[in-house]
Amino acid sequence: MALLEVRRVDVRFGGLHVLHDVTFACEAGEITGLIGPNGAGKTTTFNVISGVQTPTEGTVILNGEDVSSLKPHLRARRGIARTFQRLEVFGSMTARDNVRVAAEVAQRRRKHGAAKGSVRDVVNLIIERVGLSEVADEQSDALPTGHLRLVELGRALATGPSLLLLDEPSSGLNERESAAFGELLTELADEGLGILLVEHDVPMVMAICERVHVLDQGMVIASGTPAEVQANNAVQEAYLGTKGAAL
Amino acid sequence: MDVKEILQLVVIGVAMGSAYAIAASGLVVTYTTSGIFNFAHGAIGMLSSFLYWQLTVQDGWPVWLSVIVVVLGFGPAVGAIIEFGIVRGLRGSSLATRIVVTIALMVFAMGLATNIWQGQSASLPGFFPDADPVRFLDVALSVHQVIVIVCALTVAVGLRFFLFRTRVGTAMRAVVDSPATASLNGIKPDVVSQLSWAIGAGLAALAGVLIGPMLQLEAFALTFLVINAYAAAVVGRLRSLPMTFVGAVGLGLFINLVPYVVEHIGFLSSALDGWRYQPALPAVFLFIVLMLIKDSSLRGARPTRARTMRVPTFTESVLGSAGVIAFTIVVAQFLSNDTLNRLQLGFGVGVVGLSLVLLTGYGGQVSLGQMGFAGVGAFAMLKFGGASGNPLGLLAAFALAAPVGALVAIPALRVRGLYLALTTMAFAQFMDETVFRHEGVFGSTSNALGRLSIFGVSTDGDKAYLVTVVTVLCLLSIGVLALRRSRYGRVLTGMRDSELASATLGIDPRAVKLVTFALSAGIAGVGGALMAMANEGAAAEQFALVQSLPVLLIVVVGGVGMVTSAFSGGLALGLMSIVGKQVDISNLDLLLTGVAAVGLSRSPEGWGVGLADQVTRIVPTSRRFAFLPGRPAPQPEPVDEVTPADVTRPSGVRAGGLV
Repeated sequence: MALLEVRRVDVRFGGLHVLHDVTFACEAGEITGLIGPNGAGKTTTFNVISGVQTPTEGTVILNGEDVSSLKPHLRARRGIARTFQRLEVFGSMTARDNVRVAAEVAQRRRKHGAAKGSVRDVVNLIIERVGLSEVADEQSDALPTGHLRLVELGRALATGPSLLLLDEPSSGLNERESAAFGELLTELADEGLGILLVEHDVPMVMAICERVHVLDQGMVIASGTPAEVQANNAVQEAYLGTKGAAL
Repeated sequence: MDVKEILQLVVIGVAMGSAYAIAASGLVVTYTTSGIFNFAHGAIGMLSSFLYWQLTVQDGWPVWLSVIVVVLGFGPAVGAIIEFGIVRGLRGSSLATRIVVTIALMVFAMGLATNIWQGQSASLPGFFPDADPVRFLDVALSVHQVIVIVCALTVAVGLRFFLFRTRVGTAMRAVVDSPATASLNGIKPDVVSQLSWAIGAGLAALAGVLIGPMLQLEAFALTFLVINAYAAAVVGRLRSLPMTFVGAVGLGLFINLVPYVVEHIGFLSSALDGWRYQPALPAVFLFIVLMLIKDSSLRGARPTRARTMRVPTFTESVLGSAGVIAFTIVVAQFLSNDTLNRLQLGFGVGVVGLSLVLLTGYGGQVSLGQMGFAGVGAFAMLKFGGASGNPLGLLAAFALAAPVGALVAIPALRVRGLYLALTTMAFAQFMDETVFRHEGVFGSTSNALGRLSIFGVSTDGDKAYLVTVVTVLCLLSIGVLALRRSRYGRVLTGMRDSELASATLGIDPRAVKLVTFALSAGIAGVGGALMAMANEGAAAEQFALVQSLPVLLIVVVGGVGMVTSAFSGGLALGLMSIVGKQVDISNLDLLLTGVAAVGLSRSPEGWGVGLADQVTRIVPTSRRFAFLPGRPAPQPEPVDEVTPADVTRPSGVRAGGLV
């Protein structure tokens, strides 16, 4: 059973057909890439999965449960966490408190659950892991975009998700930070987390993803391993207009 | 069932609706171009009514000249001055600030009118009062009513022509869509905004001249007629002029037909017997319309220029409270009983203000109806505390007001921002007009309410009771600050920064808002109980809508994100009332709030924030007075903010301007 299944999702805004019969799946312990040109519907797909956008048709299935009718917070409680392309950091709080809010909410929910560390330990661990130790106590409004993306990642991880949706997490990071970030995602996946990654940095997607789905004009035009997708003519046409060098 | 009678009511409803339509379209024009919802719109109409009465009836000017002076001179001039002097300073300020500034103007205008035309209970003749009524469909219409309907049609057609067929009108629509793009195309948004305020206020003046003769000239009643205009404008979702007209006529019919229906349906008329429901009908209509709006999308982060204040620690808040209480004990020894009583009332309202620090300052939700909850608290005190001053009455006040708050919040939280503010205002109007004035609530004559008696120690004396009120305010402040530092406080702050992100962390936005609303209502209830005990009796007037509006004002002026604003606001109200008595100016407090409006447009985060900056600069952190917040970080902080596009966007992708 796949961790996440998106089945035949359609989204229309009035006359605009944003997503058209989108179907794909994500597995636990894998990084799945979702790429496509601007306006292809990647963020809308994330909104549908996380419950922010109600699809016109179609279903979202998490761990075999149909979560299509659930509100965002209920999907979050079932293990979906996400970041935002257009940042949604809690700007008036420190980076640490951003992570702390998520950890506290998650801990409270798991009151009767399995062993858990104290919130403080969890927060420290995550801050260190995503690489925010040096700026953790600064108010997040003051931080540069690259750091804010890490704050959102840390905050998402603190909810203890089984599926992590990352919307352009590496934009704003420099090359070295990007590489470290890719490694972190690989480690997280190795620990069993399923990751769905929307990313413009195509070489990074090709390097770390097990499977890649390509969206164009609201349709999945190709799915497969990075190698398969790279070789796909339709992808090169849609993505670059011509046979380009990026793929 | 009498067809002729119904027809008569329908025609009167249409005539009334036409007058509302004129007022409401002015409201829509100013709101869409400037993003400021003009709560003072009705007040401009009210002043125009009085001025028109002064010119025609008192000074004997010809009607045509008076109409020109009031509608084409006075109204537009007031609008242009407000735009220039106040509205321009508010760009990028928080929703609460933008709301209270025009509320301050409204309150100021009421103070002004009651001073200039003090005690004048005048009635204004309509146009051509001696002319024979016009017969239409077997119904008699006065010439005045016909003129009102004709004026409304002219305004509707004229506005449509102006906005769609003239260069200036097109420029105005362009500014609504995108001020930046419009200015790149050679349009000056400031000029357009000023023009729209002049037009809007001119329409308010016209409505005032037309409505005045249909009612008694009375400053408060005429000002609150604006709720009818709000209701009509909300039908048009604050942007569509045709729908606004539909809403206005619908409201006119609703107000006129509902009493008829109630009267003819047995169980309804017996159920409503003894309840003054008719004055609350516009509020009920507004509430129904607001509930039909579907606005369930989650709000994302948006930057404004508000800042983050440091939250005092528990020790700081306790030490600060001890200082404030000690200071009060000392000062109280030197004050007269009358002064003490005015301060008790001031700080009682301060407690109601504290409820808004939690709801608005921390939670980003704006309520204009806190006195509605305060009245519920006073009612509970009356029933449970009674003459004996049982302190359990205060608990009861909280315990009764909080669920009422939750009950209001369940429907009200379907909308947000400005719409939520309007919903709470409708609630307060309903409580004011219908519930509190019911005989069974506060009784028809003064009711005996004893002041608190704590473990046998009575606080009956004015000194003791002032100290008691201040102590309760301190304790509640310590509690509110503790909440702010708790996990719940962080969730609340997160919600204010980004509802969207909060939901994706597993936080239920509606549940958090509901709890906050209930807590806030509970605190307001305690405030109401304290206010009632200050007067040793609860009365409907204390908890009227007009008393609700300044509460938000005083805390926003003091800095709505800081508990200190509840203290400064309470003190300010007390002092204004004391000074007002000394200099013998009636409603001085109302007049002074006009000053606050101008001040706020210069310092939209409230004066308290600037003051806190100064104190932090002078006094080192370690020695700081406990309640004062720390040096704020210089970054902008996203707070609840609603732009015209935000309120009116149907959640799809459509954009667009005034239609």
